[in-house]
Amino acid sequence: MNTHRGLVWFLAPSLLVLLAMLVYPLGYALYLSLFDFYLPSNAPKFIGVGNYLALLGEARFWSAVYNTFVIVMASVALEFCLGLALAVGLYKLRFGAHGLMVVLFVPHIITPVVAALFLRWIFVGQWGLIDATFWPLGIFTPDWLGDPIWAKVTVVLADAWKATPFMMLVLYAGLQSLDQSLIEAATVDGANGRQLLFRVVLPLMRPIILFVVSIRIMDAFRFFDTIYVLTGGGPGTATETLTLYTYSVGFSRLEVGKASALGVVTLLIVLGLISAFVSFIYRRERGRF
Amino acid sequence: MNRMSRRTALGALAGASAALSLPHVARANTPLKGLSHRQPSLEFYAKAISSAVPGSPVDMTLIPADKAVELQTLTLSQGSDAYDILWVNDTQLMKYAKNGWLQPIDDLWARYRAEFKLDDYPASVLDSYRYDGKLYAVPSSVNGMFYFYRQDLFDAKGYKPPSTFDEWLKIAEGLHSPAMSGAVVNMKRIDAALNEAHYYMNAFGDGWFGAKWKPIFNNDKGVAAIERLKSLTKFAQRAYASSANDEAMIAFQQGLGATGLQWFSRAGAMDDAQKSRVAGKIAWAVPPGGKQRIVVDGFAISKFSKQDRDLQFRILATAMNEPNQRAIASDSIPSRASVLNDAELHKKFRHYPAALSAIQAGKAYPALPEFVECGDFITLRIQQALAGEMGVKQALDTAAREVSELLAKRGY
Repeated sequence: MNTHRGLVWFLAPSLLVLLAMLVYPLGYALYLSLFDFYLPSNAPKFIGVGNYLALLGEARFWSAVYNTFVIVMASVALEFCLGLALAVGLYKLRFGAHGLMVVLFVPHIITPVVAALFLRWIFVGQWGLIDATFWPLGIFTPDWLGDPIWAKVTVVLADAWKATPFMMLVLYAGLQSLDQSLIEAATVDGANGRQLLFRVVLPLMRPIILFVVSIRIMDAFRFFDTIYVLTGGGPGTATETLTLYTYSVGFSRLEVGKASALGVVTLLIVLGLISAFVSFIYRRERGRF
Repeated sequence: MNRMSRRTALGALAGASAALSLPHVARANTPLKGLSHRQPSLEFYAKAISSAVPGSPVDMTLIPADKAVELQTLTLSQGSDAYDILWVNDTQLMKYAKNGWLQPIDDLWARYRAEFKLDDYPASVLDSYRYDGKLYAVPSSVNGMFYFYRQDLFDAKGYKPPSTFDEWLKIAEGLHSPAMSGAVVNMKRIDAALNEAHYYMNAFGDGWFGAKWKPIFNNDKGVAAIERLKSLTKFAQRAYASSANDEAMIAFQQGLGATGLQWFSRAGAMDDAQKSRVAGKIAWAVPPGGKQRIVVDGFAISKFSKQDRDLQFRILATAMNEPNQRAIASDSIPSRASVLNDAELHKKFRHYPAALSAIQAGKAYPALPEFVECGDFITLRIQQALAGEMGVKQALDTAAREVSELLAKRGY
């Protein structure tokens, strides 16, 4: 017992780092969110939940919430499907899987802003790579960044291009850790490929799916650099997400209190969403999780 | 164990002593740091500043305009000495000076007047850099927007530079095709969109504000002005809502744009055959109605800089001397009278006559330090109107209400 108590001290460095890097900034953001704080004035005024009430009454806030949900859900769903397909493909490969995986992983290791600029040169109208390739052939592509719907689609595709390799890597690792005897037993019992995937493999991979999708949802809620470079949140408010709105309030208007409130609200939304997702994945065995 | 501990303690003590002495050493050798917007003439001046005074290099960071303003605002609002020398234009200068973030330089100006021939700067240029009667920056160049057009296409169709907006609209329609935008419009928020809207609001509306900073841009003439902008976007390049100056310059250089508002500082690049497919084919004029944006670029000294202010002023005055202004005259309109009025330069650079006329016809942003913050609301609502998310009148009314609320919070 004494030995165990002594081991608790080994947690201290990690706890200190967590306190310094996570709890303090979070607490400070919560604190700031209760003030009307215009940065140049350097004179915060306590207004309680005033910033939160103001946000809830703003159409722009709700529009940002809607856009965030649409973009996050579409991106994560697309990334999961593509990532799973690639992971299964790699899993079935008899040789070259590791080399191919490294190649497929490249988009994920490119610096986000560089990747976003790269994507902008691809999608930008007239002289972008896509338009410059297809227009001389008489094929007129959609207005990727200028049409409200296509702008959303482009942003989703851009995120999928960047994040699918991560999804693929984690799911591939999950596939490799499966108990082969269960798959063999299902095969012996006559399960076809589809049944094997949906009735055996995916249920067995629920913890890893929960992990990777949760990580991606959290990450996608912070999705900023690519949208900022590609569309700047436009046209209109078509791709203005919560992070872009927070950026606008915090960095363009320098309203630090309100920007902090937006950060806290975003955190609460993500927490709610992840809880709902956990509940959905383990809906049949809620007591077990 | 005891010996080890003592040795470790001694080592730690020695390390700590060395570490404590480091800041003093570092301070003595710390190079000056500067932050500037990135465009051809400012890139030149950044280099000139870096090497202006031998033995006193300046580490200049160059980033796009809106990012530079954000970074400057963040560091200055925190009282940080991260940057000593700051690129400023008249609008930023008002905001920074109002907040006490810049050093007045009247005393330095007087001290070095003769050495750097500072009387060469016209009073009107220096007035752009005064706030509450104090001078805050050394001007590098006068920049402004004017009308870019494809002379060869105009000649082929018998067009002349438009004198009314309706003429511009007809020309844009006449030259528009899938491979060629009749008009290059830049509506990326906030900077580019506010520049573009500034022209429409002043040339065809009553301007942005009435007495006591009451928004008037949502009156009938303001609505009609933005309706005009909206009508032109039918012939604009794709994704104009996310287009800014860099994209516009490429569109013109690649022969994909026929007309549009763009900066003097981008005109020289049109005739660079290495980068431009339309060298010699672009011409310039004052846009219909004038009142497009003009601005004075220059450099100021941060209030929080701990470096020698005399040295910093000497660096700036050297970097913006007559030979340097002459050397970059292709990409910027000089701020010194001796260079500005040089007949040789007027002959050498095709865009000079139009640029000088545009300076006469142009209009600066309102003298409101918070104007760019107001622009966050204004440009969003105008974008929404252009994207069809709301009507122009509704968009401008919404922006006017938001701007009124913002200014009331700021004490207006």
